[in-house]
Amino acid sequence: MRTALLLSSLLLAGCSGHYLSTMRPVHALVEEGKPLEAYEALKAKTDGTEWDKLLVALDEGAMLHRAGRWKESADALNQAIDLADQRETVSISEETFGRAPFRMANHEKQALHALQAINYLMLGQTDEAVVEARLTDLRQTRLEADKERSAASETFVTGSTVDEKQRPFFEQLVFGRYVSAVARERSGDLDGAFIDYFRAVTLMRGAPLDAQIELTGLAPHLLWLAEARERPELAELKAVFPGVKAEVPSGDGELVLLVEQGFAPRAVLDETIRAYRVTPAIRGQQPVYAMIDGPVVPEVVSSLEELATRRGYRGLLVDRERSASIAINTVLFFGYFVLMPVALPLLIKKGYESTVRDAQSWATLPAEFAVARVRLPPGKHKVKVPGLLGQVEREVEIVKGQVTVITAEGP
Amino acid sequence: MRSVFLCLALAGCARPIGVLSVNQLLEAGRPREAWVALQQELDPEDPNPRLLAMHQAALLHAGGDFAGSEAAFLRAEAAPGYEALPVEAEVVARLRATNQLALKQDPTAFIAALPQVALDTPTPARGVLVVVFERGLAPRARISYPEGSKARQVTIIRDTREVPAHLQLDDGPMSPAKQIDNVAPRWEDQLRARIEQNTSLGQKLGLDPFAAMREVLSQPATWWTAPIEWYVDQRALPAGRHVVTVTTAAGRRSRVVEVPAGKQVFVVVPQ
Repeated sequence: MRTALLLSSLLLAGCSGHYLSTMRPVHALVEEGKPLEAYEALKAKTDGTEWDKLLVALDEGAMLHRAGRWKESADALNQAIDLADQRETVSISEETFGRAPFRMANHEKQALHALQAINYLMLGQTDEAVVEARLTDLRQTRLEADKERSAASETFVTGSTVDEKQRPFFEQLVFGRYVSAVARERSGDLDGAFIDYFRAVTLMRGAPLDAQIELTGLAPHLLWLAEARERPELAELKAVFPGVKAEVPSGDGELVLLVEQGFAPRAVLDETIRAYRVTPAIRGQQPVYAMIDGPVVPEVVSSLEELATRRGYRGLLVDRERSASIAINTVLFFGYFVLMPVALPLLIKKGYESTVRDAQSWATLPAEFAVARVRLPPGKHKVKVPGLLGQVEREVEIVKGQVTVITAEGP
Repeated sequence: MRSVFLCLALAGCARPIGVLSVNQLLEAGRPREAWVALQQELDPEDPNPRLLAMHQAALLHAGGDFAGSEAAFLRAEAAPGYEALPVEAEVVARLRATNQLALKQDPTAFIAALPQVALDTPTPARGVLVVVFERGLAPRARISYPEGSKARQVTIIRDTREVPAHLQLDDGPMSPAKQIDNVAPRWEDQLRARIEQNTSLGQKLGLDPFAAMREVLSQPATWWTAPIEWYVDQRALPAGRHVVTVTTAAGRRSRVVEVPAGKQVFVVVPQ
């Protein structure tokens, strides 16, 4: 027993720390609207250390994105995309020795591509943004095709599945499609843009009745696109948006304001029930609206907060665990019993690692993605956009017949 | 490893991931979904079609579907079954007037809904924004026979959630609205009185075990989906577009409201 305890302490000494708890002061800087200071603090805490490289890359990418350092953000997020994909392979040795890594949820990966597409749009690299749009499309198409496999995996991990009617809403991010459409529209591919916008509307229609998301601001533009491209979906769209008139082409341009609001919810240990509970991050109280030729309230098109709180802890398990990993662990579990007490330290380490791993998340990811569209005459305009700590003044240049994209943060 | 235990523990969990119970939906401010869930939970042969329509009307109203709510109230009026308490009849009239207010922006509907509030008068250059908040859920009653006792116990279940009734206007600070009415105490008294009235002497004395069993199995039917508290906030504002931000159980949401000069504009914020 003494040997087992000694081995336990040696093994636990090599265990991962709690990333979110350790980085709390760093994340607090982001919440205070100081993303660059947060980035420097993160570098100081993580450079040359063993902290989870994926979580670090995600935080770096999001902080640089919030700071408007689009190129560096794109580099960090590209690294995160590679790491996230590598981690989908379940390794027997990692599972055996309690070194299974943090894995990303499907909607987080789509948010990653959406942020990346925004980075490229802001850099003026429309082609790269379209590549990200295609990746969103690919991920969503694959999810659509793998419904049965997803359901089997959910049953394996949690004992139940997502309601099939709501599966597209839970798995496919509307905002991902929206940004894809904007990227395609900027590149001049109007049919591609229409297909993505239409897909966003279809996903929205599959959302639960009281989901706090909407796309009414897109309707006049989408109806115009359908008319201009003579799309067969026009009649269906008119039924979806009764009474809405297609926008009338004019010499104006269009401003698309993308607002990233709040911070993603996280798993918090609830002492009363002695289990993790998915809890929304505390948000600032000021209203989120822009002043663009009068007040404009951006519409929330995707809410990760809504997804997470509806799916609860079982949803989080589905996000973080993989059925192959559970299968390996089930076999190992009985193996450890046979090898007791020699395997006891390993069992303790694995328990600790999985508990810590499931409580980690991409804390700097926004809670909600919102969009406002306003038609404006060509030329320079002074606008006020939401900020984490209040409205911020910006100057935007509108080009005739084109879509201009700007980003903002909201509390 | 913990996941293995969790997997075993949750294996019998029948509710699909992301599907919430009626109570969870109401707590999260999702009334229209609560109505769908409630329909699935109820017996299709329910002997109380009127109460069912009243639940539908209250939940659609809470979800902002004022036209749907009005249609359900009309169905309730024509349907047989549940006999409303006086306070419930009063709330039905208030909710129907509020539906009209939201649909038609007619000040007379406001007066019908909340006659105790004097509306501010707009000026030629300014309009008046009137925000009506509704809060809470009506009480429910539960009958039990505590172990070792033949005496019946009636417990009133109150909605104890603390949901704010706050209004933010443009960049202005958050202000709590003024409470106009809280019908909960009257509702509880009337509910208790009805249960007592419908109780035989044998039940009261604990001498009718079959009646006790029947009671515990069926539990008293109540219109518990209706709101119980009303708040109003009025502001005189320069004519033009304003951002109104309200906080409900579903979270904080802003919208642009056009305030016309010389007129009142009404915003109804159900729970």
